[in-house]
Formats: sequence, structure tokens, C-alpha cells
Amino acid sequence: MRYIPNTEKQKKDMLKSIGVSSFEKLIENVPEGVRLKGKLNIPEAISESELEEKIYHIAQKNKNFYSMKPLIGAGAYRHFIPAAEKSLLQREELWTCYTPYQPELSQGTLQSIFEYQSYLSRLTKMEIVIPSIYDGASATAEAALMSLRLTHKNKVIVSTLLHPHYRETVKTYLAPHEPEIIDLPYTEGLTDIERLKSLLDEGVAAVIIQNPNFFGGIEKLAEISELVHSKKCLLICVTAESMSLATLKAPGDIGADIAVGNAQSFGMDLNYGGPYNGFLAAKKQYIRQLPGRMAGETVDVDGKRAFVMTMRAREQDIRREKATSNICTNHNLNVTAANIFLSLMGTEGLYQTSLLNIKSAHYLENLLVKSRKFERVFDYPYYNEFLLKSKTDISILKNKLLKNDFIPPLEIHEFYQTDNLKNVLLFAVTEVLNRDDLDKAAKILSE
Amino acid sequence: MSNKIMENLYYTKSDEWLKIEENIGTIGITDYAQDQLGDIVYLESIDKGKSIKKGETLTTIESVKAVSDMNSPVTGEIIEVNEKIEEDSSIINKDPYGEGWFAKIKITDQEEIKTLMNAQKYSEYRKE
Repeated sequence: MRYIPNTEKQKKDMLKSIGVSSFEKLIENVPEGVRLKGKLNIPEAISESELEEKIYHIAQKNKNFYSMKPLIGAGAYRHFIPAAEKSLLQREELWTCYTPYQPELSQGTLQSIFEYQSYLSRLTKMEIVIPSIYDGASATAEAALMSLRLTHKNKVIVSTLLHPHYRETVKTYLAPHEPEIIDLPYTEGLTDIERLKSLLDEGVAAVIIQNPNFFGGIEKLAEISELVHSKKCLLICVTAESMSLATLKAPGDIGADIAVGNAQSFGMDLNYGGPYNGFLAAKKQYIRQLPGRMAGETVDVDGKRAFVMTMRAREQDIRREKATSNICTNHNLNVTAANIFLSLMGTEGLYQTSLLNIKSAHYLENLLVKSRKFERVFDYPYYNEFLLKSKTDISILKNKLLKNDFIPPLEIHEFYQTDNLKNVLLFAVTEVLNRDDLDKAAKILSE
Repeated sequence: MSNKIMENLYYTKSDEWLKIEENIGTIGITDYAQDQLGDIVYLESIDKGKSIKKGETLTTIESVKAVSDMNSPVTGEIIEVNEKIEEDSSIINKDPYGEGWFAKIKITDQEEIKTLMNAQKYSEYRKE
């Protein structure tokens, strides 16, 4: 911000123009006791170069995210990002978050969306994908709204192992419809299928399950899918850690009706919680109830390959309050980031990275359990996150980790206030932690 | 422009028609409406057995140009739905007063019919 002080002459001119003899006269209504006397108690001005040096040294005290190794995930995951991606994203022509109003003029933007749809369709094994939504939470909420429109029912069952922030977002988005939202409890670290059996009836629009769930657990999705569909309800699968899509069974493979999630793991930095990139995929038969629109491939008048924006007749700018959703834009720069990331990783690279996440997480968990300083809370299969109960006070552990440049795991009791989850940590292990890092973390934690 | 109007039907200002057979009303959209919409590509499914009030949205019609609401001309219960037009919406364009009917309603308030236009009045209304 530029600060331009008034000169003495300017001050005099202004006072003269309003007919006040002095500055003291101007502020005479301000009580004597609260007026500033003398100068402000701050250091004398310094030059720009002196200031720069001073600030630089203060900034050095900040912990740099990349100098620290994260043991936390819980919905935001640090993964490797190739340098080529970051370099390509600096190209100015990609810097737009908007879907243009004359979309066909911007063939590049449309192709970028088209490629993204294709990637996500392959990863989720779903027939149709729309351009991005803001993040996983809003994608989940849009999917829930979609299920109400599709079924004309007003009841939704939500697993309590859906990310707590996603659950809040679903409640907020659905509130004007005054739906019945039923919390589905968990048992042994996984969604309770027996309880689901007793809660399900034909009045339920959809069941929302996150996989891997908030505890990192791998849900028995095939069993859940069969159960949900036997009652003619819709199954919404949520993937908060999209890296898992490369190794775990895809939502489309187990018959999910709508698959949503957060694509942040595909080449996006943590960015203090956003912007990320939410995806929404569905069975083709639900195409008319999708929020937003899609990019489609066609041919132009000369028979050349071209891209169009399609299925947008129900958008807000056309249907106003009767639109299927308020989504009119998307995170297109992050769409491009995901495209570049996925193209550089390739099918095999992504699979190997995802596998490494599983192996590294299990390696650390084993070390910690063997140290006898931790014990398992649940006996459950997990992806790259797991819960462990610490025998030491976790505030001590957190300080030790911070001193050694590790970002501590999440205290799960903040989100799940049950006695068995006291002093329990939710660890996340991605490929950015190598074997030495894991050995070091285990040593610090079990000393 | 196509604007065929049938005798013995009742009409609304939003271009729906109603055919009365005792207390059962068959409803559809007029030739003018289908012409204005252009090629109809999709129709939202109509809930059989549902009660509907006069002026409430019965379904939404998606054409290549736009998505529009189709409102019920009368209050009643939906007793029959034309499934053929849900499968092939172009029937509405081809035969709006015949094969392209939408639904049959058991009318609960006969008085409401008086508020609708007859063929002559609708013809004048659309000429304006």
C-alpha cells in the first residue's frame, strides 16, 4: 500500500478552506485524555534495503512446508508434484478459472475439461464426469442434492466416517430442502453394515460412504452396494484421497451411482486448504440431473475434431432459481494441473505411487506397534492412513515431532469425542516420506 | 410458424391444453408451444399417483433450445402417464394433440375449468 503524507502547506490549505484555525481546533471535540501526545512509540524509519534484510531474517524463523515431513492427511495430502507441471502451469493462457460464456471460442479450455473428464472417468470407472467442482466437500453435497432430485425422496443416510467437514457441507447444502439426514455409525473402524441394514428402507434417496474412510479404513463397498441397491436407493461413493483410485477397487466397479471426491492429490499443493478440485462422476442415465455441464467432442463444419460445451440447458444462467445447481464455474487451472500430473505419471506411475503409499503406511504402523508405545484401536484394513493409540501423552509427542521437522498427525478426538478415541492419532503416510524418514519418525515416537 | 388449435379443448395462457371426459382430464402442450420449443429431446418423468394443484409444475421439457416447465391446468390426481413420450420425446413435436399427450388427471374441482380458455379465446390470445 502506498502511503503519501500531506505536506505542511497542504494541511494549512485544507484548514483554511474549511475555516478552522489549527489542527488542535479541528479535533477539540476529542477528549484530551485519549489524544496522542508527542510522537508514536515506534522505531525511526529505515531504508527499503534495511527493511528488506530485517524482514528476511524474521521470515527465516517460519517453518517451511517443504522442509518439514507431514504425518498428517485427513482430507489434504502432500504428494510429489513433478517440476514440469509447475513450470507448465506458469503459462498465462492457462490462467482462467472460468468457463467462458462463448465456450466454443476457447477450444483449449474445452479440450482441457474434456481430457480431465476422460481421466476421471477412467480412474473412477464411471460413465460420465463433469468439469470440476470446488472441492470434495461441495462435490459430495451436490451429489446428495442430485440424489434428492433423482428419487423425489427426502432422506439421506450418511456414514459417520465421511470426512467431518464434508458432513457439515452436506447438511448446509441440503438444509433448505428440510431433509432427514441419518448418521450411520461405525464399528471396528468401518461403516456398520448391520446398522445400515436396519436403517435402510425404500424412503431413502441415497447412502453416502467415503472410501478410504476418514480413519483410512477400506470399506466393504461391494457388500454395501448390493444392500443399498436391494432397497432401490442410490449409492454415493466419496474419495477424499484420490491417489487410492489407482489401486483400490473403483466406485464404478462396485456399482456406485454417483462418485465424487477431491482430486487434490493429483498435482495440487496444499495451499492452506484450497483451492482444490472436486470431481463428480455418475452413471450415464443420470445425465439430466448433473450439476453444471460437460465438454463434449464433436466435429466442426470442415469435419475437424472440435469441442463443445453441452448439457447446460439447466444451468443457473438459463434456468435461474429452477436450475439444477448453483455451479456455474470450476477450478480450471487445477483441472489443468491434474491433467498434466496424470499425463506425466502415467497409468503405471500412478499405480506404483499408490502402492507405495500403502506399503509405507503399513511399514510405519508396524514399527510403531512393535515399539509397544502404541496400540491398535481397530483391527481394520487401511490405505495410507491409520489410527494408533499412544501410551505417552500425545502433546509431548507432538512437540518432539515438531522439533524434528515432522508435522504431527491429527488428534482424532477433536472430531470424534468418544472415550476409546482419547489420545489417539490419525497418521497419514504418502510417498513423500522415504524409508529413512519413516525410521526416524518411528524412533522419535518410540523413545 | 405452426399454430394449429383444436376445437373442444380448453387452453391455458402457458400453452397447455385440457380435454375433458367426465371427471378425467387429459393434458398436453399446444402446437404453438411445441413449435416455439423446437426439437424436444427430454422429458422429466411424471409421478403417477401424485396430487397436483392448478399451475404447479407437472414436468420439465428439455428442447435443443431451452428447458421449460409444463404446468397442470387443473387440480387433481395423476392417474395415468404417457410413457411413450418419456422414451421418445419427439412424439410431442409430431402430434401434440394426439399421441403426444402427457398425463391423465382425475379432476377434483370442476369449477376451475371455467377459468380456462376455449379454442376461440385461445386463438385470439395467440394472435395478439
